[in-house]
Parts: sequence; structure tokens; C-alpha cells
Amino acid sequence: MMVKFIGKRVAYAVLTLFLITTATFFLVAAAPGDPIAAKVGQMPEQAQEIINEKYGFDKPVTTRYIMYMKNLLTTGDFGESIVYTGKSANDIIKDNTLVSAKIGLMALVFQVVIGVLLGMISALNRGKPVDHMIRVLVVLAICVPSFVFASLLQYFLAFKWKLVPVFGWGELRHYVLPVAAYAIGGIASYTKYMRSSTLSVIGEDYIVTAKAKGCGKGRVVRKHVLRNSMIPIVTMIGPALAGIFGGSFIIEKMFSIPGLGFYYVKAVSDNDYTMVIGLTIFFALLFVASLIVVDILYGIVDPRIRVAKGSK
Amino acid sequence: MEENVKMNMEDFSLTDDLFVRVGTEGLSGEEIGRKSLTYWADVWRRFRSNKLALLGMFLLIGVVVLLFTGPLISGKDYQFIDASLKNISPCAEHWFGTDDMGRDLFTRVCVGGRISIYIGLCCTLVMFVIGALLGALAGLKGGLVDDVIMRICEFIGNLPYLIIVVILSMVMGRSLFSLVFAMSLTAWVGTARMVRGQILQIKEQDYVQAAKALGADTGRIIMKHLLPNTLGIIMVDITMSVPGFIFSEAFLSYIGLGVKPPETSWGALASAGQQQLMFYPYQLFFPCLLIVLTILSFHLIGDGLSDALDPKLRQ
Repeated sequence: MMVKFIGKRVAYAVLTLFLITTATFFLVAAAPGDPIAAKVGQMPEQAQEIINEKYGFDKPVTTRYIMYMKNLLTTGDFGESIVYTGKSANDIIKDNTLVSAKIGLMALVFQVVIGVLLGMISALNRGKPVDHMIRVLVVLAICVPSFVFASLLQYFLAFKWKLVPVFGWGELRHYVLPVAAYAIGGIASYTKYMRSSTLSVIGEDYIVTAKAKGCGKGRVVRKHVLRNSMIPIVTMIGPALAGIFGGSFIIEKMFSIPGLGFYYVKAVSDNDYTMVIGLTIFFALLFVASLIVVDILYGIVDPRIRVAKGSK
Repeated sequence: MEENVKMNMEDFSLTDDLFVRVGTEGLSGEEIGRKSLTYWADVWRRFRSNKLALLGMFLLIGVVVLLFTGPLISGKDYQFIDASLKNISPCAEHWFGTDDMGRDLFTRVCVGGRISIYIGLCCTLVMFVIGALLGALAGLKGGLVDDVIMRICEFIGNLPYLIIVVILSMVMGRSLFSLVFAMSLTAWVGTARMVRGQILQIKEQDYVQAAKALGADTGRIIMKHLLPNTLGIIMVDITMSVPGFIFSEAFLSYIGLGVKPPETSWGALASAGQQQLMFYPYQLFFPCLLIVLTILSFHLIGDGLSDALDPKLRQ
């Protein structure tokens, strides 16, 4: 059953990827603006022709598309950047995926751990000052866009109090600002969901049963409340995992972090066709692959989902 | 005691005053004490008693009124450039100060806010119309129609949202239409799934069966039962979606794919203000303040609505 399920998902994923690649290729080809013209404008005609030929711009779109797909499928080559001669999307992907992944994963871990803790504290102290304080903070954090947080952190922590460096990349201390800025919004929403999830679990019969059987408070919270209220959170982590690479666009741009998002935004504003297409395909690949992984993980985490799927 | 009983037994006779009702004078048990509330009147009653939700509503009304009357009150043009008035801090003449080109920030925030809210509402409307229609169609028809719609949803759900939005805005150029199109293209899937789920659930409820048994036709069932019962969650979804779209617009404007100058929006203003943050923090503060107030009000209203619509959710 599981094998069949995974097979079906993979088949869908391949189809999705193919459609995305095709659509992206033709859409970008139809986009206004001509990066080649901007690049070769002052060159002699012969050089223009050579460059046009190199990127295949002398051929119709469909021919280019077939060439591109052939090349991509046989060698896995996304093609050379139009703006930066000699650099290909593959280089960018090779060098910078890890950076984005690190920031995204660190932020996600902070979001879940802090969010779950705050949510539990808030729910267990319902109606007390702690609860009110956490709820107000959560609402504030949800209402502020992430780039505003990033600016504020940059302004106070780096500029005013000089606790961490404003720019630069490589050391651990450079991660503090971007990860914090990235994590805050997520912390707030995890706290919110964890609070309501915990509240609904607290009212369940099995909690009363556990208490009636003489279970200590710590044990009830750890073994019964936490475990059951985590289920909706786990289902939220999935899409978040898939969205890691997309979510870091702004943060990477703001802090000039050499990650995938940074180069993607740059390629889009440069009209760098090959880069945009290559990175889009790669993003889509990551996204679709993580969705499959998430689906499989669900089955492992929550037996009820496994049962439901099996019975279909 | 015994004496008493004996005496009563002796002169026991049935008189009328023994049959007078006791203790119900002036009470009317059969009369309906309060006017019976319709579903929406009940929702409104509960919503009204929620202070935070009311606060949110007044806040939103306040913001909207400000956005539309602000430029009239300040009497300035949001595009008017005065090179001698660059980067002036908030003062009596320029309430929110001026930006790096000497434009009045208060007026710009108002005009930009209109665009932001307009985009938020348009996207939500498109998302809601497409999503609700397709979702309802899938839920009601079932079978092949349901299958096709769900496959489409599955496909779109597999697309990385941000990437699609970025690509579309790049391809279609920077206009309001392309922004709205790009953002609502993928967003309706969630609404469609939700509406379909709700319809499937309600369709099997006993009261719908009862209505059918009593001879109600499909139209009546849709209008009387399905629609009012799905409208609730759709309304909550709408109030929660508008801020999401306002955020997305801010994000796109921030990376340079959003609203094109001379038009402006909160996202574009915040992005411009962010570059001046080190020297003129107020240029980031004011657009952000308005964003935060608006989003906050939508959240408060949404929370209030979802509580009012579903008493089970109230904790």
C-alpha cells in the first residue's frame, strides 16, 4: 500500500515538475525586456550574432525549448547565465543551497521549539498574566511583516548596541540576525496553534482519566498533553519544511546573505533568463520532493493517517 | 397533627377554591419571552459582546476612513516633490514627515494604503469567488466533476507559491492586474478544498435529509442550508486572507516586483523607509504602523467572527 502510494506521489511530482519547467520556459521567453539586447547593444554585429547563437536566441522558442530540455535531461545542466558570463545556475545551486538550508532549518527549529514551549505555557496558565502577555506578543508578532522585524533587529542589535555585526558572512555570529528575523513570525504562529491545540487536549476525557488514575501533573503534561497537542503542529511542520527555501528571500536580500533566494531575486531583477529558469526548476524540485517526504513522514508520525490511507 | 387530619377528613368537601392554580398568576409560560434570533442575529450578538473584535472593527473603520479622508485633510499631493523639504521629521506641517524626495509621507501612506487594501480585497474576492464556486461544485456534484477539480487543486497545491508569484509578476510586467492575478492564482485552492469539505459534511447532516424528505428542492437546500452553514467559515477565511495578501504585496514590492512608481503601497513605502532606517527611522515606522494596525484589526475581527460563528471554538 505504502509503495503504491509513494509511486503515485512520485509520478504526480514528475508531471508537476515537467509542467512547471515547460510553463516557466515559455513564460520567461515571453517576458518583456531583452537581456541580450542590453548586453550586446554596443558590440559589433558579428559579436552579437555569435552571442545570440550561443544562447540559441536566433532560433524559435520551441526549438530552444527542445534543446534546453534535451540538455537538461541528459547532462543536468541548467545553462550559462546571460548576465554573468561563465557562471551557470548549477554553480549557484552547488555553492549556495547549503547556506539557505542552514538558515531555514535553524529558523524552523527555533520556531517549533520556542513556539511549542510558549504555547504550552500559555495554555496551561490560561487566564493568568503569563497567558495574556504571551497572547499579546503573539498577535503583535503576527501583525508585523518579517522585513520590519529584520530592520528593527538590524537597527537595534547591530547598529545601536553593536552586539552583532551588521553585514558579513561565514561565522556563527552572522547567523544571529537573519535566523532571529526569520524565526519570529513562525514562533508566533506555532505558539498560537499550540495554545489552542493544548487547550482542546486538556479538555479530553483521557486527560481526566490520567489524572483520576493518580498521574502526576508533570507526567500528564509530558506524556498525554504534549504528545497529543503536538499532532497538529507536526502537520504544520511539513509545509514549513517545504517552504524553507522560498521563505528566506527577503531575509537573504536584506542581510546580503549569499543564499539561493538572494541570487534568485537578483536574477529576476537582472532579467537573467537562464538563471531564473534554472533556479525556478530547482526550487520546484526541492518543494515537490519535500512535499513527498512530508507525506511519508505523516504516515509514520500519526498512525491514524496511516490507517485512513490503508482503508481507502 | 392527628387532630388536624381528622378534622380535615371530617369536613372534606370539594370546593372551587381548591382548584385555583397557585403561583402562576401573571406568568405566561406559553408566551415566547424573547424574540427568536436568526442565525446571523445570534452571531452578531456574540460578536458584539466580544470587546476585542469590536475594537478590531472600529480600528479597521478608523483606518479606512483615514486612508480616504487623509489626503483631503492634509491637502497635499502624494506625488508632489519639493526638493527643499527632504527628510523632514514629523512636524505640524508634515504629520509623518517627508521622504527622501520631499514628498509628504502622511499623504503617501494614505494613498499607498488604499492600494494595499485594494489589492488585498481584490485578491480575496477572486480567491473567494473561484474557490467557493469550484469547491461547492465539487462537493455538490461529486463523481467526475469532483475528481477533476480535486486533481487541479492537487496540482496547484504542489506549486511553490512564492516562485509562481515572482515568475508571473516578472513575466506579466508590474501592474496592479498582474499582481492580483499572480497572487490569487494559487490562493483559491485552499478555499475550494475547505468549501468542498464543508459541503460534503453538511450534505449528510440529518436536517438536510429532513428537508429533502419534506420535499425541499435542491435550490432551497442550497440557499437555506448549505449556503448559510458554509458562509461562516468562508467569512472567517476571508478576514484572515486579506492580511495575508497585504503581506504578500508588501513582500513583492519589497523585492521590487510589486507596485510600480509613481503608484505606491505600504510595502513599497516600507521598503523605501528601510533604506533610510539608520538616519530617518520614522520613514519606516509610519507605513509599518499602518500595516500593523490594519492587519491587527483584521485578525481581531477574524478571531471574533470564528468565535461567534462556532460556539464550540470558544474556550
